[in-house]
Amino acid sequence: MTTETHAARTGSKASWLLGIGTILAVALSVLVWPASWVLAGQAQSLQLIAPFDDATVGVNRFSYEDEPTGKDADIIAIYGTRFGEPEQVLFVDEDKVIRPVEKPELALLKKGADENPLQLQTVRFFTRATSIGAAIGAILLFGLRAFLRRRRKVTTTA
Amino acid sequence: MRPTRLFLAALALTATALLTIDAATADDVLKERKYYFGTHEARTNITFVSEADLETIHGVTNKIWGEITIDKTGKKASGSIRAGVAALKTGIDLRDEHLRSSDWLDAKKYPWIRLTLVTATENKDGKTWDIAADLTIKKTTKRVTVKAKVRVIPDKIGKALGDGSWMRVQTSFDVKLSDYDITIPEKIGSKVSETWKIGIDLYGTTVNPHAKKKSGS
Repeated sequence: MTTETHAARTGSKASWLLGIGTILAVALSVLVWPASWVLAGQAQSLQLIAPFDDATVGVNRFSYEDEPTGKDADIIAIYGTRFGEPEQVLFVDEDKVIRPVEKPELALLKKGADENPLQLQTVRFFTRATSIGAAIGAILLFGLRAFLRRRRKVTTTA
Repeated sequence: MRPTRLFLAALALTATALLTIDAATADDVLKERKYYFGTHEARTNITFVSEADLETIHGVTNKIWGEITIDKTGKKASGSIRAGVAALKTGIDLRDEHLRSSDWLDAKKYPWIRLTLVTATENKDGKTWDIAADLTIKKTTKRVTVKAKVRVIPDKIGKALGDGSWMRVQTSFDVKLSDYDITIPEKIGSKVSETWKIGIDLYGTTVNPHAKKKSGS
């Protein structure tokens, strides 16, 4: 096998790999969005709380029943301290969800100090980053492949 | 009078007396009392929330210590609360380490965040207090003014929480990080908001657990 034939074969293999890489990168850039939408469908809107122990909840419930305002904030305050506004959360452990008897349509998620529930916002952030990154990767791979093919053509012609 | 009737009358009198005491304590119970906060982690929450690109950061600490004394009128208070920087938790250890680092809160040099009451006055509604307090983070102290919900828990209910008379204090306010010389280290792709929302939800008891330990030992 001559050196020229060997170089042509190596170049052809590299070009093939770059082509596959480009297709995969384009696919990742596009398909990450429907995957994200599927996950978004699983998200639950929950009010995160730093929970109280049972004794405290009992005392709070007794106090609330003395003057039941029906306000969300007052009902949440029976069970714990709220963290800001409700969040879209994924892969929720149902054992940690409280649906208050005072207002069952409220859904509270007990968040321990060492826990960090996965938010839909995080998934969207990584979806965007992955899509942009993969698109840039696809452009670079395509450009490199085109460059190699062009160089090979010039070499073959010469 | 028959013994049964006598017993029922005594029971009714006792119940009336108890109710009267409860009604009286609602106004008077606070007078000249000192409350200790942070005695039970399960009912001690100081939360902080910050918006970031990546996610909303939900942080909490249950390790604080505070003493608040109500004056003889029962309508003014003084005291302070402090929270250890090392005990602030966001749910991700690496992020907590960043929070404690010299770039952020510098836990080694400034181990405590302090809130010292300057004025605390009960409002006419009897449920809220207007509070002005000095908040010290790192080496900077700034005044914050807040409205706090203060609820005295009747003793017969509060005994479920443990020894002493209990009260609950709830308030919230915003902290602008740059006001306290906290600069957010720039990380590619993720920005953290400049303003953090702080929530305080504490139960205080009139029994000092440290004094109890000392006398017990």
